[in-house]
Amino acid sequence: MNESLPANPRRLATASRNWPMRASLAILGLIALLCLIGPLVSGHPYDQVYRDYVLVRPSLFAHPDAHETHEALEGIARRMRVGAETSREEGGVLHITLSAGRPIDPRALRAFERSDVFGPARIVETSDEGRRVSIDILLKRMVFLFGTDANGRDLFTRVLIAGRISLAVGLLASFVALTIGVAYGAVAGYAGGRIDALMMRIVEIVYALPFIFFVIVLVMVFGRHFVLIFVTIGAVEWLDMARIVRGQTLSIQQRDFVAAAEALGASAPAILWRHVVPNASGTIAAFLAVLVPRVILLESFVSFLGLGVQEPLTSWGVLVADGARNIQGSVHLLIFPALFLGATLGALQSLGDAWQGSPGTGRR
Amino acid sequence: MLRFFLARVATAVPALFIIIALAFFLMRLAPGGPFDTERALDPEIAKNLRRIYRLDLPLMRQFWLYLQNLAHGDLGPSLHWRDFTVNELFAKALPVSATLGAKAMLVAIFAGAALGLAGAMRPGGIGARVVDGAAIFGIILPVFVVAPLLQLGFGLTLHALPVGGWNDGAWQNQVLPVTTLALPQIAIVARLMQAALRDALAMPHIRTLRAFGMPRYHIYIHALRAAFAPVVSYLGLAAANVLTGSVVVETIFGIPGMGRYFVDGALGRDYTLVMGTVIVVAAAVLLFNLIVDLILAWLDPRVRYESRPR
Amino acid sequence: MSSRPGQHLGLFRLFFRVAAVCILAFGLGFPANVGIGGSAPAKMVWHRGELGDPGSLDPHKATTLIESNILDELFEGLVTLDARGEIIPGVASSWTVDTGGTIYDFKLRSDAKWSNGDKVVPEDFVYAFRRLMAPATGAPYANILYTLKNAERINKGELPAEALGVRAVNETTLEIALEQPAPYFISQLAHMTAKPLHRKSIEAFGSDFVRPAHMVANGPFMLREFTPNDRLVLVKNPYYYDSAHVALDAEIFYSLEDRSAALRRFMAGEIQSYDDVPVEQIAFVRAHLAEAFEVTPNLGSYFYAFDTRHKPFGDRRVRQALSMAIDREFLAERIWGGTMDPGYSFVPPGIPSYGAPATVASKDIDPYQREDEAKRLLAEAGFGPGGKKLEVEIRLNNSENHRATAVAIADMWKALGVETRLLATDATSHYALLREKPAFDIARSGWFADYPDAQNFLFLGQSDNQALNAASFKNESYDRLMHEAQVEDLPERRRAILHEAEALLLDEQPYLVLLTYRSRNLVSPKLKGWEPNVLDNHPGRYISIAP
Repeated sequence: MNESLPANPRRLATASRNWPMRASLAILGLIALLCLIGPLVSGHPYDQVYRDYVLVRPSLFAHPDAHETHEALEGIARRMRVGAETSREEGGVLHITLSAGRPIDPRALRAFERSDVFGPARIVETSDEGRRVSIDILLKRMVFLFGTDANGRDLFTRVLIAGRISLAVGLLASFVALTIGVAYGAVAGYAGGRIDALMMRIVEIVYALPFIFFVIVLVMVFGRHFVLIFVTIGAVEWLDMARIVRGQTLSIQQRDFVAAAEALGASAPAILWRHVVPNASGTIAAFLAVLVPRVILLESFVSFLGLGVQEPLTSWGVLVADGARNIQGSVHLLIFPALFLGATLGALQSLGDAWQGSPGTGRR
Repeated sequence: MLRFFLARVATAVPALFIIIALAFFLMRLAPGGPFDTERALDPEIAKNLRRIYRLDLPLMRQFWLYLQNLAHGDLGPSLHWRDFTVNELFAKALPVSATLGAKAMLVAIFAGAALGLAGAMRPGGIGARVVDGAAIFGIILPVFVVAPLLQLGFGLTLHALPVGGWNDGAWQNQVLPVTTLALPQIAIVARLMQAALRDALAMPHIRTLRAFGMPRYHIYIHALRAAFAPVVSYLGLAAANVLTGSVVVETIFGIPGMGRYFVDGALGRDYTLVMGTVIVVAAAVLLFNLIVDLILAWLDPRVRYESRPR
Repeated sequence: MSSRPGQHLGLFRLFFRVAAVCILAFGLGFPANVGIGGSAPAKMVWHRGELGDPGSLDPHKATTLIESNILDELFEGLVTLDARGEIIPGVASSWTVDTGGTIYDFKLRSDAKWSNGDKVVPEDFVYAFRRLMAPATGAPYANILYTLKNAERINKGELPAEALGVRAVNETTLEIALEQPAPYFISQLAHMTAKPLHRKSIEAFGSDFVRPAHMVANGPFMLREFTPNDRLVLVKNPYYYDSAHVALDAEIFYSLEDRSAALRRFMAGEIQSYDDVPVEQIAFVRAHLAEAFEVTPNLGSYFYAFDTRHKPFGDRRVRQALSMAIDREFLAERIWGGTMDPGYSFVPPGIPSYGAPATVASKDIDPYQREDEAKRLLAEAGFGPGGKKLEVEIRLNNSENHRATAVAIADMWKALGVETRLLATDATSHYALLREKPAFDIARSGWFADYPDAQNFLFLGQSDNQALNAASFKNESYDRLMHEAQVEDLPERRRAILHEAEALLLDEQPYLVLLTYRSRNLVSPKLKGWEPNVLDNHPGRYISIAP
């Protein structure tokens, strides 16, 4: 036998098929976990706007830095119409002297509290009939691991929240597609004859319907209910599933145990449910691993057209589309969501491969 | 073969009709109309305009009129491109889209087949890893990320190719769009090819050939023939996928193709233009599937009998 | 077809044949590489990126700014705009007004010609204005020239087109009668609806007169080619009376919808100007293309419309409170990257006949006092601590900038205890909402001047302006003031009345003024004669290109 041909590398293949499967599962698990827990512990609500931190670059270090502190102080002084002078900083506490041509209204000091850089101000000393005020202010400390977006929202939290939406959309739409597809395919395959022919003809017609047109119109019609759209998308994506399941049903139907069940008087739905569907489950699982990424990508296409999920929620598609527009200005807006999206899609993809390839995934 | 062909055509016509009807009425469900632009029109003027474009007639009557015109091959005047009929717009845009799509698919088939072949020859080898890696990469990167990256790389950094524009189809202007369109397809074709080849190599008749000590290239040719079926049957689907990609590619590279009409028509409620694109695309997909079926039937005679209703 | 021996070789052959076709197909594109710009390098061509294509080149069917820019190159009206956007005589060399302010006599230039050599005569204007108003034309913007005598009634089909108050007195004089005095009439004549048309070519070709082969133009340029979504080529009109001073040989407009891609094309030198810059990339552009970046005040307002028909937005206090809580400097500087001005007035600054506009009363109060005041007003209206929670839904058309603005505003209102939801839809749905006016809370809107006059902004608050009064604002004193201004012919008094109206509008706040537009242009330093102006109008007549 020729050595370069795949003679019998089964043992090797199983091993090499298994590690990507495990790695993919690990990646998916990690991402799912991050998306679930991350937003709770990131320290930033996903819709919190930090006006002092618009488009901050990603960094491991805490904000504000000296420059940001200075900028923020200048800004506040301008609004309060006072002069401000920093005397010193120690242990995260700033000593500032404010001066103005008129007595300073202590109520105006809440400007500090409102900013994202400073904590509450404490008056240490008032002099010159209130025209000079010395204050102590605590500096806030914030970390923006992935930087912030154009509204000054923490990108880390937003990427994770987006993950929740994207994954949910992918799973939900796939689930709908799965349910319809399996039911339709199994019925068509089992019924056979004219019914089968008719049902498959319908599938063919829907296939020819330009899909993007359908999606765009649905988004325009149901625009306000994002989830609804993807339920509808699921309702369109069932076609492949129906074909696959029908094929499986046709072949399984000829097997002995189905004939036996029929002979024993089992009803058609029972046979479908007990024998046909479980036997097709391997194929179904593999197909699912292809469908979920497809729906997620589709969502990103819809976002590119500007028809994505509503603010303040977001999805990977929306973030990547925004990031791609921003590619020359702030690359971090693209890189992080793209990384998450890519890792998820890649993992799902190789999971699907592994599933399709490995024996024994279907229940026998 | 002829009967098979005629049977397929016979089902395609009602299919097209159903699609037309569906698209026509779906489109009218979307809020707003073609005259809703940033500056709202005077109600009287808007009414007059609707009358001129016969949008004030009952919907069924509009549909009937539309079908009548369609029967004469007339897709009607565009409501946004008011100086053109839809036929005129398509006369210019279709060749552009067809050129791009066809080239992208050719590139995808050849590059994909080559990669798939390399992958199948040595499973677990470098070739296979490259295929897996490239395939995943090609599938996970959305087109609207790849396109700007290519523009930045080849247009702005290397100054090797134009960043955008069609320029009457000069080849320099086609390279980046074709590449962008082809990338995800290359990935898919490579994976299909690799999987199919592996299966084919394990098929009994190939094993027999091998046992007889046939030369390796000969064996691969046989395997390729068997492996082409899934790739060919994917092409029907690919036509639709390329269309989705072309919407993005045409927008970013500024190319005067069909994809932009598809989206702009729908977003701008240019009813006639949208209907035109839907019809053309649906017809193209149906035609493609027909061709694919014919090729499959030719490649494997069993298909002819299988796809007949039992 | 049946299987025959050696078919596998056939398949291989097929493989190569297809490969050959593929290579051929690529090769075919090769000789086609001849553009106007590419073939003759000696010619002076302005490659001009625009946000979109013209929907129509028929001046009576056009509606957008892009169409207006192109039509200004093709057709010249009685008056026209110079490089700084100021009105200068066009086909009319001079004009007189009667004492009542309703009869205008225009003296036409004797050297004004169409691109086929015909003379431009007063009849051409008479024909064009009648066509504009004829209901059969279906001109969307006919109402801009309802100032002409009998125009509205003709447009509504109540009178024949011949009744229009426009007539040719003799070979060189055109008389235009107005419905009532309109001090802004001369500025209206620069609008695209007021162009002359070449009667013979329209009668010969019907609606196809706009085709490159048929179009007869009287402007500095004429139409050579138009491929939708690709390019529109204009070439110099040799019959134009000032053609000796037109430096450009051609102008090519490219429709570039994707702003980021357009920026990259600009950087690669493929286009010499573009009429927008993606807001997200402002910082990048400022850092790397500072010499090409032109930000100019523009006659456009960006505002939110309250649905004043319904509670709680029918309550002036609620509208005032929401307006007070907004940090407009933040929106202008940080969200829009300094490419908008904080908007405190409804009429943007920069209209010579109007002077400095009125501003909202709270402008000069410091933000924290403003916030206290806003809370007090809300409490009075029954919202806030102890009262109901105010919930607001902002409807907007989907674009990154509108979204970012709304998100920032929602955050600002949070400080008042207001809960804000955003609902973004595609543009057409949004504009349909503004037109149909079902019950809503707040909808994003905006307005750009048709002609530089305050009335063209303030009429958005008139209760009889059904189409454009998105807020459904109804206020008798306001309507009365607007009517007074309409019939007042003393410029100073008219200005004072309009100022009073604006002050009233700002006090009532049916429109929450947010920002004043500035135009963002990318202009290659090689482009000479390009002047920033409030109308963002840049005629090719004055442009030349340095080598």
